[in-house]
Amino acid sequence: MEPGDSAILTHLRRGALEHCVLALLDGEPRYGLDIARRLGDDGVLLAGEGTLYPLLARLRKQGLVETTWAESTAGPPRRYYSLTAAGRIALASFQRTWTTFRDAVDATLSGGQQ
Amino acid sequence: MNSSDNRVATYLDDLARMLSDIDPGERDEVLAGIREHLDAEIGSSDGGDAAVQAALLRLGPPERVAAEARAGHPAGPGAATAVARVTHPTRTRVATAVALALVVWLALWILVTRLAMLPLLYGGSGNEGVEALLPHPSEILLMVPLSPVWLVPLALVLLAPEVSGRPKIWLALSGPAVFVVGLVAGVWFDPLAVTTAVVVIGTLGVLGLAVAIARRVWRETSA
Repeated sequence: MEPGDSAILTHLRRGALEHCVLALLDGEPRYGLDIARRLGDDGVLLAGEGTLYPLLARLRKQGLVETTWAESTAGPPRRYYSLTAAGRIALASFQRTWTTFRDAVDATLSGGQQ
Repeated sequence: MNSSDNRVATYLDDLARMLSDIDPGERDEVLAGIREHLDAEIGSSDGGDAAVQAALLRLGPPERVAAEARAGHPAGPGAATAVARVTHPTRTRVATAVALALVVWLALWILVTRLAMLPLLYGGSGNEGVEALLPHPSEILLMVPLSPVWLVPLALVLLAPEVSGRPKIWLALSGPAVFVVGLVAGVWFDPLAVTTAVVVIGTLGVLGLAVAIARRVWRETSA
């Protein structure tokens, strides 16, 4: 990645990253560290693991995600995040549109759609 | 406190400071999440200084976390209102509830006193009825201490930055409006013209308006 790429990446993440988080919660509830690890530490999806938490707070405020507490054997109770019905709908909508969008961008970047 | 705890505490303090201008509920949520994240990560490692430093490095600088938190709230001239609106929803709701309660009470009082007079009007002779419907001097005296009462919610509503524009004006005017309507209906209208229907419709109308505004304020402060 080159220096100017991070600004572009910030823009690209908007809209896509939150749906990636929703996708990770599709199968089962997860806690914060787990989500951060699965999003990878290469700086592509998450610009630092810390940025995950404002995002999760936003998703919860929007009603797409809800939290529950679960006892943990290794220390204090942990906060688990899970999808709400609205979150599931948002994720499904994104999954429908993403591949179309991604393919269209790829095609355009490699010479335009014929 | 050893240096690892210091580092974590410094990070969290810095972050808390940078988040001081956003909604306190959201700020607490972000800080709690990060604290939990660090506990889980450091807990599953050897807990040594190197592990702590690595964890903080992976978190990224607190500035970036704060920027992400702020990114959720659009910046601009309207931002102050938007942020303020979410900042103290409880205060606005309390002010609205108090204003509404007092308006309701005032309206009911006027309704009851006016309606109580009407049977006298229709039951007795003409002269007796007319005078009975006009507010007794003691009644007017009662209304005087009443009047400052609705100035309190009025002031609260006017001072609340969360409510703005039309809802604010309507909510602020609902108290005085009910008071004035009651006064006018009691003193100046031809008592024979003030039928039960007029009193009921007028009072319920103002009540309905106040309730509608309160609901709007409720919705806006739960955004």
